[in-house]
Formats: sequence, C-alpha cells, structure tokens
Amino acid sequence: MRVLPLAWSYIKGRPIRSIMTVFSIVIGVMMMFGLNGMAPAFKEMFISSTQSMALSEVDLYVTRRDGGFFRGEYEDNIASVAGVESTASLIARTVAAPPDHYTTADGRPINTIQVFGVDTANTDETFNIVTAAGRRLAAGRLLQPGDGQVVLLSEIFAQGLGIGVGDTVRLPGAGGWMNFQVVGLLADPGIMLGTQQVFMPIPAAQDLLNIPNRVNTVMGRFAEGADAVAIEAAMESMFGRGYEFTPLEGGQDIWAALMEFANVIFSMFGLLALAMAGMIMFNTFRTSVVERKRDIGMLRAVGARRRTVMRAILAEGLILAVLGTVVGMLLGVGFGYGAKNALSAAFENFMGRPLGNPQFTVMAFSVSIAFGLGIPLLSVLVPARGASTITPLEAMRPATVEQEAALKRSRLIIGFILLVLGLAGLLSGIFPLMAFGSILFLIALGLLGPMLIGPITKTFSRMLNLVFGQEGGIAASNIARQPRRASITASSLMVGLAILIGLGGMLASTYGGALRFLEANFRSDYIMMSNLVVTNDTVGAGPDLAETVKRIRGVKELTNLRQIDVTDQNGIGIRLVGIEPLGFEKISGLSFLEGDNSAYAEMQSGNTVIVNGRFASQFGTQIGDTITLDGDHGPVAVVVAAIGLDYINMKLPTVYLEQTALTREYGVRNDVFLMINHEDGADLEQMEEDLQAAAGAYPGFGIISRQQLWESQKQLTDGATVGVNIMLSLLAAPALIGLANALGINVIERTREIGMLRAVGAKRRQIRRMVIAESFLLCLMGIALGVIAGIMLSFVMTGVLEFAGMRIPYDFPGVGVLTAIAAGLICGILAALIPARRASDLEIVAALAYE
Amino acid sequence: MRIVETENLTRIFGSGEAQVNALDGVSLHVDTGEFVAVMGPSGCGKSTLLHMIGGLDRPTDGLVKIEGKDLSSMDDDDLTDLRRQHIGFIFQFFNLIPTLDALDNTALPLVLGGTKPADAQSRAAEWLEKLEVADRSTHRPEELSGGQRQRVAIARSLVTEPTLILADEPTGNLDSKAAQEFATLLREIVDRWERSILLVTHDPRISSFADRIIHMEDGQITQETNNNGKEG
Repeated sequence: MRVLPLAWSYIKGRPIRSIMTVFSIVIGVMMMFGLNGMAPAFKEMFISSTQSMALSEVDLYVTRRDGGFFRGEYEDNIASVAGVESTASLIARTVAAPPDHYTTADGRPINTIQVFGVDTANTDETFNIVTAAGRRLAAGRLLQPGDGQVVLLSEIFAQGLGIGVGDTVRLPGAGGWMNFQVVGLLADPGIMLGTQQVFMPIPAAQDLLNIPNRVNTVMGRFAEGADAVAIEAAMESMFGRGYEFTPLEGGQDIWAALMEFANVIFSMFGLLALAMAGMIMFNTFRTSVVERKRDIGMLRAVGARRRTVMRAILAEGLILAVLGTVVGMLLGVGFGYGAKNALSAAFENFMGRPLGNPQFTVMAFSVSIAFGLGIPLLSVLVPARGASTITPLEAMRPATVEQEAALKRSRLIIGFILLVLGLAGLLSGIFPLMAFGSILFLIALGLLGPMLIGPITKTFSRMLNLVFGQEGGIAASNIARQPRRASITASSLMVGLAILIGLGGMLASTYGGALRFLEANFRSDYIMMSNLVVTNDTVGAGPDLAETVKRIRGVKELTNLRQIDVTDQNGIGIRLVGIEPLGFEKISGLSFLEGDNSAYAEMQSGNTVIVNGRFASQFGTQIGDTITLDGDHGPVAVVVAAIGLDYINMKLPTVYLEQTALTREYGVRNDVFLMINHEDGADLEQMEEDLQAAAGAYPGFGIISRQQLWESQKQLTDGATVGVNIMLSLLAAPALIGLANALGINVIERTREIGMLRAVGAKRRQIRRMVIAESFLLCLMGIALGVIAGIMLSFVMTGVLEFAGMRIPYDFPGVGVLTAIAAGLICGILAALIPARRASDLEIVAALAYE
Repeated sequence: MRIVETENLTRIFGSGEAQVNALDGVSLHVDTGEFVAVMGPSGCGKSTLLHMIGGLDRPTDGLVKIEGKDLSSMDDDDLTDLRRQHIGFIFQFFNLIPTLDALDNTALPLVLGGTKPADAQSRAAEWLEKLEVADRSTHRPEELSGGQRQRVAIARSLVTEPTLILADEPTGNLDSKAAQEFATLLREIVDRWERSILLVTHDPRISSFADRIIHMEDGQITQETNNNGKEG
C-alpha cells in the first residue's frame, strides 16, 4: 500500500495524540480479550465440578438434566430395557461444608464434601470406579451389603479430622449433624483441592440428605452387541424431557446463568470502551482532516486521487487500530490472569475448586480483533470520506462560501430528520426502536451541534463576560465564529460524558435498585439461612428446624422457603422456589412488576405460579400464560398469575410456586430460608440467642437480622461500586484526552490570530484567560448535551439488560450526573491548561509567520 | 508546441446580485520552453485562471487544452492523473507535509503514482541535488529556511518531469533575496530543462524574469508584454 509510509509519518509526527488514541483502543480490547479469555476457565470449572466422575467405561448414566433426584424405582424400569445387562443406582451430591469446619492434615480448607451413596449389594465391577469398590485401601475395609451408618473416606481427610477406622465422623445433613462410623480409609486423596469424597450406603445418604427413596443417577452396562441407539431411544420414550442419558453435566446451568449476567455487564463495558475509542478516533480524525486540509489539497493537486486520499486516512486509522488491538490483547492476557488471581480464592471457597488459567481461544482472538479493528476503522470512515472530497483548491485558498452554505443546509435537514425519527423511536415504548432511536438522537445532536453553538454561546456569553471579563467576550465570539470546530470539541466531551452517565446509570440501577429491593423485599425481622447464594449443593434443613424456631419465645410468625434448580429442555437453568403463599405475603413478599398481591391467594390452588422478571423476559411470558415444568412424574402445566421480583433471585429465571406442589413434583422437602418476625416487646437479645442456638444444630445455618443483611449487602455493592468506578475512570481518561486534543488543535490552528492579538496589545495573561474561557464555554456545552444524552443512554442501557433477560427498574443516576458535571468542568479546565500556556507563550513574530 | 491553450475561458461565482465574473472570456497560450507571468491587482482573476488551467476547478464556459487535450471531457481521476504526469505545482505556502522530511516530500508525487519507494527516493534525491538542497534532505520542513522550503517545493513539482509548471504567488512568503534567487531558479528550469512555466505574481521583480507578461483586470486580459518591453 503506497500510502502507508505517509500515514505512518503522520502518526509519528503527532506522537502524543497518536498514543492517546491508541490508549483508548487498548482499554476496550483489553477488557474484551481478557474477559473472553476467562470465559472458558469459568465454564470448565462448572463442568469439572459436576463431571468429575464421568470417566469410567459405564455405558449409560441416567440423570435429570439439572442433577436433581428421582424415584429409586426407576432403576428397575431401566434394567428392563432390552440390551441393558446390568444397572446400579447412585447418589452423588456435593454438600457445602460450613466454613472453617474441616481441614486436611496439611491445613488446607475443605469447603465441599461429595457425598456418594452407593449400592453395596451390586457386584458389577464396571461400576467400581464410581462406587469406590475398586479403590485402594489404606486401612479398614470397603463397604459391604448390610452396612448401616458407615462411611469410607480418604486417609488425608481422616488425618485432618484426627480420626481413624472405628471412630465416628460428623457430616452436615438436612436434619443437622449426623454421625457415621468410619469403616475404611482410601489411600488416594480427594479428587480436587478443597473437596473430599465420602462413600456410604444409599439408605444412609438418603437419610443424610432427607431424600427418602430417591437417587440421582442410575448407571447401566450394555450387553455385548447391544444397540446403543435403540437403548437410548427406549430411554427417551420412558423418561421424556428433563432427563439425560450421557455423562453427568447437570447443575451447572444456574452457575452458567449467573456467569452470563456478569458477562453481559462486562462485555458491555468492553464494547462501550471501544465505542468511546471509536468516538475519539472519529473526532481526532475529523479534526485532523480539518487541520490538514491544505496538505490534502496539495496531495490532490500533485496527483493523488480521491480514493488515494481516503486510503491514506484509513491506513492511519488501521495502523492505530492494529497497535491498539495488539497492545490491548497483550494487556488483556495480564487482565485475564489478574482477574483469575483476584477471583480464584473466592471461587475456591465457593465451588471448592480454584479457577483455571485464562484460555485464549480462537473465539477470544476473533472477537477482539473484529471489534478492535472494526470499530476504529468504521469511525475513521466518515472523516476519510470527508477528506477525499477536499478539492485541490484547498491548497490554494479556503473553501468558498458557496460550498459551506450547501453543507450547512444538508446537515440541518439530515440532522432534523434524524432528530424527529430518534424522538419517535424513544417515545415508542418498544425496546429495539428505543435503542435505535437513542442512537439516531445522538447522531442528530452531533449533526445539529454547529447550529446550536450560536444560540448557546449567546445564552452563556453574559455569564462568560462576568467571570472572564473582556477575554470572555472574545472567547465567546471565537466560538460563535467557528461553530463547526466548536461543536467537534464539545461533542467529544458530550460523548464521553454520555457514556459515563449511561454506564453509571445502568450500574446504579443494578446496584442501587438491588439495595432498594432488598429493603422492600426482605420485610421480615430475621432470616435464618445457610448462605445467601443457595444452590442445589445447599442441603438445607428438614422441617424440624422450623418447628423448633416456632417454639422459641418471642417469635411471632415465620415462613419458610424451599428451592431447587432445574433445567428446561433447552438447557436453560430455572430456579423453582417453594413458598407458603399467604405466610410469605405477610412476612416478606415480592415486588410486583405486573399483577399484584392477589396472586398469592391464587397460588393456593397449587397450579398457579408467579414468575420473576428475568424469567418473563427470557421466555416472553405474560400473565395468564400457561408454562410447563418438568416434574418427577412428567410435565406439569401451571398458569402465571403475576410477574414479581425478589432480591436473591433477580438474576436467575425463577418460578415461585406453592410449597406442597414443589414437594409433590420434585421431592424437595428441605428449607433453605426461614423468615421470622418477632413479637412486639419481645426480649430480642434472648430471642436472638435462642435462634442462634437452634440454627447451630444445622450445618452452616445462622441467623441474620434485616439490618445486618442490608449492611452486608451494602458492603458488597459498595465493593462492586469501587471496582466499577475504577473502570469508569479508565473510560474517563480517554474522554479527557479527546477534549485536550481538540482544544490543543484550536490553539494551533489559530496561532497566527493569537500572534495578531498579541501584536495589537493583548497581554500573555489575557490570551491565557481567553483560551481557558473558551474551553470553559465549550465544556458547558458538552456537559449540557452530554447529560441529556447520558440520561437517555442510561435509560436505554438498563433496557438493554432487560432485553438480555434481566428486568431491572430504572434508577435515576443522580450521583452519576453530578459527578459527570464536576468531572466535565475539571476536564475542561485541565485540558485547557497546556493549550492556554502554549498560546500565551507564543512569540509574536513567529506566530504571525506561522503557517 | 502549444502546451497550454485557453479559449474564451469564463468562470462565474455565485448568482444574482452576488454574481462575480472571476474570468470573463480569457484566451491565451503558453508554448514549450516559455516562461509566462500573469500579473494584476487582487481579485483580477489571475489565480482563478491558474486553477482552471491546472484542472483544479472547472470553467463555467470556454475551453482549456493541455498539450492539445481538452480538460472539459475528463473526469476527476483523469484530471488527477493529468496533473500528476504533466503538471507541477508550486504554492505560495509551500504546502510541504510537516511530518515528512525533504526527501519524502519531494518523492511524494511519484509514490502517489505507484513508483517504488526506492526509485522515487533516488529520483527525488537527484532533484534535491540539482536544486542544491541535497544536504537538507533528511530535515523536516520546520527545520528549513523559507528559501530552502521553496526549493524543496520546486523539486517536488519537477520530480515527475512535467512539461508545465504552475506557480501561485510563489514568492509571497520569501524575503527579497530569496525571491530573487527563486526567480533565477525558475529561469534556469525553463532554459536548462525546457519546461514551460505559468506564474501568477504581484511582484514586478519576479515577472521581469518571464518571457512574456500577461496583465489582467476584472477577469479580462488587458495587456500582454514581452520581456524586452514590447507589447505582444
């Protein structure tokens, strides 16, 4: 490409501007690449946490897609299928261990325990690898038929507990702690850091988990020459949807849904960072085309074709984009590893596994390269086209009046049309049209900007006179005289602020809204629970705990929540929450998006449910719709009575159904939350003590007051807000750069004029004040437009979240707006300092001779 | 041979009361190896005339021929190619690219035309040598004096070996010594390398180096004189 050397020379010739522009691309690509690199590690962890036993030569695993339990009798049905020679039932369930309760002999924490309930009567060696029957013993014996409350565990686990064969071990269960006798120690250690396997007979496991007569896996071995396809078809017709016949993968879907939420937010960040980079490039190139008009005119005069000029500008954009993308990807690797190190400890605690290293897949590369090069190149396209229309006459004389007027008219017409269309879209109330409308609105503001400059200048010039005296007047007239350049400068700030406010607003809605929910939602005085993040791994508490709590003096009323995570036939994770509708209404309650409290009464019938906002937007559900859930016994059709939200489950598609229905259809009989109100005038201190004692009998359970919960969540969101603010300031830096850039160019281009002002008697101080006054006025314009555009954008982005399946009420970004105004003014003054100094330091003669 | 020929060249800007007849039926010619200066007061249309001849702007009426080729039938790309191959420009403000050194600035028209960078540079170096600024070839425009910049601009206009050089007030930004040197240089270009030059200027000391001087007023040619003072 013959224009490359020219493009490169321009980049080298303006090092600071080039570096700033590249920096803005780097941030966007870094986030995008780093996050994409982390995605496979997250995914792998979720899969590995559920798949670790699917390694053997077992031909068939029958599981519910969500890893849930089903009736033990199903094994007989499977055994009766032609071609299946042998079967074995199994319980495989990860149970969260109370924090700091267990450690290995070398002091490492054990956060989860994998409870295996095995069929001790089964002698088929195929299943040995899963059932521990083939494992090497360090001491004692393996499990055998007729065993009761006995357990096998690893030697390393036993050492940590300080016990041996013949001793008892306490394990966390639905009925509280349960004692098991250790009959043997396995020589090999647990499979993964932070987790330990324990093996016990099926009835013992059912007892521990309070799941009478249920298992969650049936394994099968096929006869020689059996038709695997026919067997699978037979299984399909026997079990229908909701079941899987391949290795275990269930249970990861809820985590996947949570990760997806985080991913949407972070991807949006990366994308907006790049959009910002795009705007900065657009402005930088637009200004530099204006600045180089004469150069370009000369190129055209000495024989460069229109497309050659366009290519030269595009080449410049491409070089910057390539640099930004490469550096961004390199930093993205660091970002990925940094995120891994920061998150790994938390995940190890939570999931019982450390997070793997980031993996930069073809996908990560292609997405980052496509956006990293694509967005900047698209942004440069318009200025490049503009450059190609510069006539060779520009090298000789400024553009004729005729041309400028024509340009103004066409801008006005297009801008006005876009404004009308944009407003129509925004007011349409239909989300895709609103999103599109907001983009049109932003473009219209950019196009109409120069026309707004005159009136705005007039409005502010009196104030400017007041603050900056005579220089303010000159500054205002400078701006009014060059409306297009002024609007370029103001719009670079506008876009920066719009994005800051937009993102801030979206996050304020997510976090602030979440806290407001919490307040409105958790109306009970106390909550008894094992952990806010409840998964299928949470064993919960049997009904005895609620009974015990009810009897505590001072407790006025309580309601319990049960839940299970399932997947629909498309593999989408759904949370089912079982409530006692009337008790729940009285003590806690949902925030309704559609419908009202009458839904609780309707739920009593058992076939009416409430869904949450996330569920409604994911599946397009409306009140009155019938949805089908996959119960143990087959499909269950239920009618949606309302759409509501609760704090804990707002990020997951959730269905609230009557509790006995949940028990009937899914066999869930353990409570994960108890919400408790106290009597007026109760001895709270004593009551809390009693509640704590009751909770203490159940592994991991504790009691938290409404106030404590709110404070702990506030702390969490505050922590998240700090992180978000750091990222926002990373985004703000390029906006500042864009503004400084544009102001700097203003001074350079007016060098001769400044020389003239100095020649006719302006003092250095006056020149400095003039430039700062100009910047101040431009900032006011940028802020005014940016705040309007930003509020709109934040509204739309909150809507984007809904479109992505998370319905969140809009929270006005009040603090964000004030911060943005302050940031805008500070940016304006900071950005003006260097150009103002440069202008006032100009030597008069040199400035007058400046070309 | 007629390098430039215009017939009844007219250029009107604006319309109605704001209408300006920048050129009003101008017919002239420039021959091979001829140095022609166009003089006249500001706004007489001399620069507009230069733009029409250079294919930078299109006439409202009339004809421009370069080496016998009618410009009115050419599209933008044809005009661009014609400029690159047959015409060299020298501007008042030199118009050197500030980020390129003297050598690369000189080589620019060749590079734009697709000549290999190494060839382009060696030809550019020859012209910088001929114009006695070879020692400044690695310097950027800001590091050059006004006279040196103008020499680099001339080297750039000659590097494609054009038959016609168009110069628009080329001495407007030079002191009188540099302007004098520059005029001598233009004379040499015509005499030594047989180029034709059409120069627009205010400066009678420069026009005195021309073979022929065309005087314009209000968009029309009012007088033509040969350099020996005779009216043409």
